[in-house]
Amino acid sequence: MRNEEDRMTDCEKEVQGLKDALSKANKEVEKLSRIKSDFISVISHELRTPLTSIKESISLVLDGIAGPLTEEQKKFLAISKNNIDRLAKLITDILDLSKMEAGRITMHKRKLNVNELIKEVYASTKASVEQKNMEFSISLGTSVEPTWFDPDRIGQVLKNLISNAIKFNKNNGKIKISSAKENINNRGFVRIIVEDNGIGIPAEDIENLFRNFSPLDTSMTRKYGGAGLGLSISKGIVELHGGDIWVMSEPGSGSKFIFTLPVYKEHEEFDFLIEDAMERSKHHDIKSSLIVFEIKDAKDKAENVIAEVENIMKNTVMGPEDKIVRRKKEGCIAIIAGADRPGAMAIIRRLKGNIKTPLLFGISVYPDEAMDREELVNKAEEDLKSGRNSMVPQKILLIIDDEEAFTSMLSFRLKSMGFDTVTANDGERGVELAKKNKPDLILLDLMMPKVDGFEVSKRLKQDSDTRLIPIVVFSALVNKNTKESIEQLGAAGFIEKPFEPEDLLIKIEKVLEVKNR
Amino acid sequence: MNGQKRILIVDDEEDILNVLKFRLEANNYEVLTASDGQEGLNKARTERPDLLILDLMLPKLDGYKVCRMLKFDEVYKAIPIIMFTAKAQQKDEELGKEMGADAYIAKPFEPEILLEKIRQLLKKI
Repeated sequence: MRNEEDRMTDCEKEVQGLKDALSKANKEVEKLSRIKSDFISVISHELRTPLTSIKESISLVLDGIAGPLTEEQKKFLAISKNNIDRLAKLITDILDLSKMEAGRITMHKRKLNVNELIKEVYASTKASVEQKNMEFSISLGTSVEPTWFDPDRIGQVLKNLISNAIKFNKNNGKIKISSAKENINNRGFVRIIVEDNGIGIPAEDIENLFRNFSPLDTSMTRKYGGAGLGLSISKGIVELHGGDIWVMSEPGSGSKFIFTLPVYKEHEEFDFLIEDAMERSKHHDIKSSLIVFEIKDAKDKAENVIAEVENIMKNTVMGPEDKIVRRKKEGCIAIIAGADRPGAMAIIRRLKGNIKTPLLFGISVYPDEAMDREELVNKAEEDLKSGRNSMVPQKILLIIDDEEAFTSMLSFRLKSMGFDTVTANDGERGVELAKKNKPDLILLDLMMPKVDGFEVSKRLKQDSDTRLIPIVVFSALVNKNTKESIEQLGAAGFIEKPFEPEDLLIKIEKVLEVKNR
Repeated sequence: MNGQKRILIVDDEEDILNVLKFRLEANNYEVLTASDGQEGLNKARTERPDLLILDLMLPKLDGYKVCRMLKFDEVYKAIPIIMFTAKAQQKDEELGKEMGADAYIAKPFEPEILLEKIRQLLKKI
């Protein structure tokens, strides 16, 4: 008996020892992975610095600033420059990959329709595909629903796949991107296919295709140059979205890269809604804010949830003015907490990990500057009652431009930055929509047939409904005269086409900031 | 103040200072340089350039601090600042913006994009 017990204890001791060793080893691995990621981050910085001088020196000579060049000299310098860009891209890719391995990469997911992204990527890559004399087309599934994804990152995946299709093409090359809705085991997905009729991939290479640096030692690489890290990164990105990526290929007739993005059911969206609310609240220049949790369709479970939420909020440090207000209206329950922005975010973070009851949630973050607290509570209630999907009151931007491709691209960009948009493709309609929607800001193209930007602006300024809406004007054609006319129009801002979306965002934020004062 | 706009470049890499100076001078800007954060801050205050191109990783005083000290100062906050860095991580960009930087350019950079950004920031209506 005594022996038996001893043996048990020995056994337990051994198990415990093994457990300790394992957890120590795990920590060691984590530490190493972090060290590796830090190391790569430092190295990438060290590599980029000399590359910058090299690239700029070559560009200076190539641009003819340092004196005239022969065609031959230009050709060779252009080759150097292209390869420097390739190297820089590789460094970025390595950094991305190491961040992914160390779990240090965050996807900024928004609820968007992937079809819009495909259109945008199509527009921005069309020129480089057609330059290779390849045909490029898209075919978008009409029943594709909006879902949560990071538009920049999924855009990166699409661009990687397109650049591979270009690289491995043959004569009469074709690339087609398509989207469709599908169901697997009762779970909805959006399926995106990038298809080409290029050289295809031998069966023995498919298995290793998505592994880091795998293409380096295959026959394809020797012939065509490696596909780099694009596919490994794409796989990482898609998997961080809860999707899957794979390839179907036949040597000689082409490849089909397929990836999926999950469509979430409403009660699964809570985490995303929170992230989204945080993201959007950035555009409101919020110093203090009001958070509204809307629990829809919750008659029976409501009390439990409220208790859960209240408990979490009580244990979170809030400002002196903060309070929890609970209101019930027609099966809808709003829990309202006022807090300064960091406080509000702390509450949100805690809620994120702690709400256990799966329910339909809505969450809003209201800026708390223009209105007093009571007014704000009323406004939140009103929004809830009117069934306005009370995600977050977004700033509405009206885009008026006759170029449809441009408005839809810009609209998508702005939506992905957290704004709501309305578009008009002629001046007449623009004025109409301005009256109807009362946007927070109008983005106005100057050169339009019939009713041009100047006329639109004049009409808006004459109407008391629209007089105070700030207008940001853009135009491709700018000379001293147009500039003076713009100033006379009293536009709040001006941006020259083509512009980077980033710059437009800065301008928009500046104008909205002034308006809010 | 008519004619040439003055740009101050703060970077600890002499090679980068040289190539960038050449590029900007070729585009009719007057160029001042500084090779650490302290010198950069001093020159920004005494010379009052029209625009600042500011590296992040600098000896003595890093780029964030220089940016913050200028942007949170009524006298100098109107000087546009372009953050210039080889780090190229989202986090840095956000931090740069919080410090009040007007634009952010990653190294290695496209000359056309840098020049365009400079033109835009100097134009400002």
